[in-house]
Amino acid sequence: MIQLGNLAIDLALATCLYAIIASIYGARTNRRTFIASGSHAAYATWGLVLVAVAVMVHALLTSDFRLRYVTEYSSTTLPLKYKITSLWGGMEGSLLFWVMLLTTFISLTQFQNRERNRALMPYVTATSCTVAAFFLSLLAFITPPFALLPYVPAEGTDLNPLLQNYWMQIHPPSLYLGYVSWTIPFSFAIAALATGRLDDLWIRTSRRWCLTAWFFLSLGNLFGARWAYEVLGWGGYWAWDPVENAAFMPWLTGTAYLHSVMIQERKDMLKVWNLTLIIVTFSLTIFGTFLTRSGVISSVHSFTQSGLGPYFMWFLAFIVAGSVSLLIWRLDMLKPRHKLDSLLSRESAFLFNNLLLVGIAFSTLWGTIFPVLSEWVRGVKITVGPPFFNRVNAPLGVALLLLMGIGPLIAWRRATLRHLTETFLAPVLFGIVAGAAAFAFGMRSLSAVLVVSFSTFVLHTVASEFHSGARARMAMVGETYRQALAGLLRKNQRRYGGYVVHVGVVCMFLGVTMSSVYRVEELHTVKKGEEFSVGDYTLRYVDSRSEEDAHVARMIATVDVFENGQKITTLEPEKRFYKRPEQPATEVAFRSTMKDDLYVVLGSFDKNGSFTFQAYVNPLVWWLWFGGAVLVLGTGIAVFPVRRSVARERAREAAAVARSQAL
Amino acid sequence: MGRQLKFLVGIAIIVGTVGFLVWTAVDQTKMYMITVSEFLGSGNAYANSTVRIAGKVAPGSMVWNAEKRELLFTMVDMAGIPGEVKVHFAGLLPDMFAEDRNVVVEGPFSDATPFEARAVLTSCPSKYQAKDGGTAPGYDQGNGAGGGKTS
Repeated sequence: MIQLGNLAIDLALATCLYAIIASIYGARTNRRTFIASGSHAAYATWGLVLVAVAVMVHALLTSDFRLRYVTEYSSTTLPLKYKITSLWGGMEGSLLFWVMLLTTFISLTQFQNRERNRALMPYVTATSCTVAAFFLSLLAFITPPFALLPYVPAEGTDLNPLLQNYWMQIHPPSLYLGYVSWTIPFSFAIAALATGRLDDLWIRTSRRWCLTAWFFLSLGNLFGARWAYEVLGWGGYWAWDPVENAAFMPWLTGTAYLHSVMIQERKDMLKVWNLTLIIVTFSLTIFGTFLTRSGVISSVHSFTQSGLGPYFMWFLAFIVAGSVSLLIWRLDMLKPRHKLDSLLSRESAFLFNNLLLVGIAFSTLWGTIFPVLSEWVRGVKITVGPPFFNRVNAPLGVALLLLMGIGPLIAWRRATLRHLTETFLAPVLFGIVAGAAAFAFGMRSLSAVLVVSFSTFVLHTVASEFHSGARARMAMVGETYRQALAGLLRKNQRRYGGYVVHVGVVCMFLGVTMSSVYRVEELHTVKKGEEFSVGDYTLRYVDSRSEEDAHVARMIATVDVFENGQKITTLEPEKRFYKRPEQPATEVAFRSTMKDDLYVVLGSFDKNGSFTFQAYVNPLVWWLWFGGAVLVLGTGIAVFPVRRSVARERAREAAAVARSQAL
Repeated sequence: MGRQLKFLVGIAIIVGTVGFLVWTAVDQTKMYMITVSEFLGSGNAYANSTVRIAGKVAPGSMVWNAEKRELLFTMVDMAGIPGEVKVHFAGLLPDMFAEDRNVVVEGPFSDATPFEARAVLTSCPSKYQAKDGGTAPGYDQGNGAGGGKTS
């Protein structure tokens, strides 16, 4: 069985390399059979990778401790669901999982375009298979997942307890899905550069892949934040850890890309910028993997010292050098057909939105690699903590929030003063009133007041977009108001889905701002029956008990929670002691409402019966998760394929071909 | 003013703001990452700055007072260079804190004894790496779980 796994990986690498060569050769010499053969080889690679994954999953499920990987990341007592998630619990497994996703996407792309994009596809195949070949050669030569142990241990060392959590089952897969999906739009961009088909064909074809990638990257980040919140027990959800940043940066540049392509589609501008953004976004996904694998910058995720760092660095250099040379080579063909007209236009709002997003990505990158940079340049290792990121990114984020309200409403090309007052008077007034009200109710933090004001402004603009759109449909099609709203979402998925996403982002902004500005934290040591208060809540430590099974021993404290003298709930924070590996862990207990979260950690306990609790009140943090759900909904609306007439798609394509031939 | 010039000015303002924010924020939030021996041999080089000292908890030196939530321990150099730093920390005992483990303490530089840590960072027990209990040499910044204040 195990040999089958090794064989599958070697063969997959071979077919993958063949796919690259056959595709390029076929495209250069115009031989259809070679192109087709390259495409089939890509499918074959996928099949072989699936075989390797199946062998690994089988080994995990049967606790085959001959395998080093199984011994290190599993055990006989590990629950079934975690045996499966062990597939991505360790490095070799997660690389294998990564390749599986990538080859699946490659095959899906082959299938989607089996009768389309004849000119682009060979290069798409070659580019995406190059990425797959890199990962496959790591598996084949550097970190073989099916490495055997010299002896067969009786028991495995188990999956890290911190990873034995619901969110950890879904956080890495969604993050990987997000990372890996960017390969496809990147491949289309490279194909466009290679073939010189630089109209917006590659953008339209890869649009859904971009949205999918963005969707999963958003989810991955959210799940990770949720995991940190529930498991790490420090009361927060985001610590600007290098690995968190690694997932955040491509999200930022990807968001910038999703906005700026709209300008290219509409105005035929910013072509170089868009290509640059997709190259940067893809490079950041590889850089992110490099960060997590190399141990160059330590982090909570410390995958550390796998020795893979240099390989990723070289691959990254190859990607960047290759794509930038292609871009420079084609620079002449990328001249914009229009120029920016006016500062007061949607184009310029998008442009500034892009700059801000890239600015946040840049500062995040700078802060993340600062220890390395400072050591190179000055010989001293200097690190910057979360305060750095907050200080830089908070003002940029608030400016971005403001633009989010302006962008969708301002006119294309050039907005007149009359148009501006007509469109923006009401939302601006609402925004100001909301900000003033927040101040009057005692909010004194500038960022909190601004966020309230700008959020109101954005929500108002979104609502009025929906409202006026629905009114127009009612007048034209004669629908009821509700039908018209649904019609808007159906007929113009991308636009109105995007607005829904904006609503989600506003909720997240509110949640993040309020929970960080107005967070309350208390630390108390009490004995049985004693009370302490945090915010408006009073907590009474009632009792404790200890439980033990084969896997873990736990000390559980019972804490009654009172608000205004009324008992509202009982929380049971735990301290756990995992037995393999021997390791204590904190299990927090929290009560979440729309108003605030009460979050209780059992810090420590003493033999004399005194228990120490750390308690937090995080206002409005609920809205962060709610906003995330809205964002997911909105992206779903934008991306979910509604059956459009295939004929129309074909006609468009034919027209594009005709146009490019005419040139 | 020409139209394109206006855009250039707008772009320059945003790029300049980002640059300015990054520059000042680095200055205000930087922390020197040093080892125990570097700390001991630094004289007053890090005066008025924040430092993160990496070292190993000396066996037998840990005193934890749960009631007062007070931790006292001695940190020695990871590379075995002689010398030690006494550390005092008021706060919760981090989950992964133990004798003979690598830790990082953070606080304003001072040559007073004991060194007053405002955070104690333990390395994450991640099993992503092959050897058990192995912590990366150097500066594993834990997440502050249960222990140090992260912000």
